[in-house]
Amino acid sequence: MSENRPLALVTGSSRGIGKFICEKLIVDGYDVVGCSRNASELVNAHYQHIAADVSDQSSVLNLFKQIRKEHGSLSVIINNAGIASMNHCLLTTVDAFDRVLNVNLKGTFLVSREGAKLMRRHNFGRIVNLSTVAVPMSLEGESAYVASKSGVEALTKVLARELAEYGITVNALGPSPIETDLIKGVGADKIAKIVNRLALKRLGRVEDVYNVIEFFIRPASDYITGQVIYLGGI
Amino acid sequence: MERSQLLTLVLEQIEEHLQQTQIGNDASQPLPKISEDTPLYGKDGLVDSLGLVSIVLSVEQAINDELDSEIVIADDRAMSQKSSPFGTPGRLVDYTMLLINERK
Ligand SMILES: NC(=O)c1ccc[n+]([C@@H]2O[C@H](COP(=O)([O-])OP(=O)(O)OC[C@H]3O[C@@H](n4cnc5c(N)ncnc54)[C@H](OP(=O)(O)O)[C@@H]3O)[C@@H](O)[C@H]2O)c1
Repeated sequence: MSENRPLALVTGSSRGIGKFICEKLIVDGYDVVGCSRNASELVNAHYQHIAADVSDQSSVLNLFKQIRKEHGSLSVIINNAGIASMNHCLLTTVDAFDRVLNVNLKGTFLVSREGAKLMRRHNFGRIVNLSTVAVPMSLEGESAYVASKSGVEALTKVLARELAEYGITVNALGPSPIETDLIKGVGADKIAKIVNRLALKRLGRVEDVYNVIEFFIRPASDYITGQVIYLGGI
Repeated sequence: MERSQLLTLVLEQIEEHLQQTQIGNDASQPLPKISEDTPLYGKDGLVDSLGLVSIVLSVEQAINDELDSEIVIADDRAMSQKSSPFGTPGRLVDYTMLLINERK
């Protein structure tokens, strides 16, 4: 970690999309703090892992206490930590519903709230939230997941307005299906069906995700806020 | 942290905020004298709701830096109290003192 590289926080950095985002941010000149409940395989001089559960307020406060103490400022947040629950609504338990809402929606809220407190010190910040194409598709079989990510999109738009005066932009991006642990349990036929509803009929790639993130976090993107970009053409 | 120390910290943060926003945007105007009982927010208050957010967050951060703590001042209790704990600097100090003592 070095003094003159801007700091980015990526939640859910231990694997999948989050891990890739961390690697790319490092290449692009950022110091990166990553968090997830478990350890990360990523070892790099510009990467620091802090174990945290984004759905737990005290864990998030502790995460930011460390960031404040060790780094003092924060430029970018990628709210990537997320879980899914694929089930018909009639078979969705209240526990599963709570878990999904807590991690995806409450987690995004808590990390954004605490992060914005730090970002406002320098009157600059970029927050990017992860949604999904399942929202505009109103995808059946994912009621809790889609509800949580719809909440994330609504939060994105309200925070964009509330945080604008601090130089903080808040945007979201909705990936199409990408091969990670998250969709391991979803049948190939269901994935194919989703892909067929896209204009561009292929699976998404982590590179596609980073492309949009890279656009949102550029200093020159300071006139773009409250927007949701979907991959694949929906 | 003593109450008097906290009061000084709160008054400093308020003054800094007022300086930054230059009440009335007239730099030549002296800043109003602020004491424990100066109306801060609400009727005849010095600041609007956005100003209050800024001050409360600055106080929260200054305390957390100083005490190495994780206090959240704008908690549910603060928001649900009949008379706002942010009405005057003194009330903000009392409420924050309560939070500091509770974590011991
Ligand atoms: N893959 C897709 O097809 C797809 C499509 C659209 C949107 N997305 C979105 O993209 C994001 C990343 O998904 P992914 O595919 O990379 O998922 P993934 O491979 O399952 O990884 C999820 C990451 O989130 C972390 N995480 C889970 N719960 C957490 C919690 N409570 N606190 C902190 N970290 C937590 C996990 O680490 P730990 O388990 O160690 O905590 C892991 O690092 C999610 O928001 C997802 O909804 C994915």
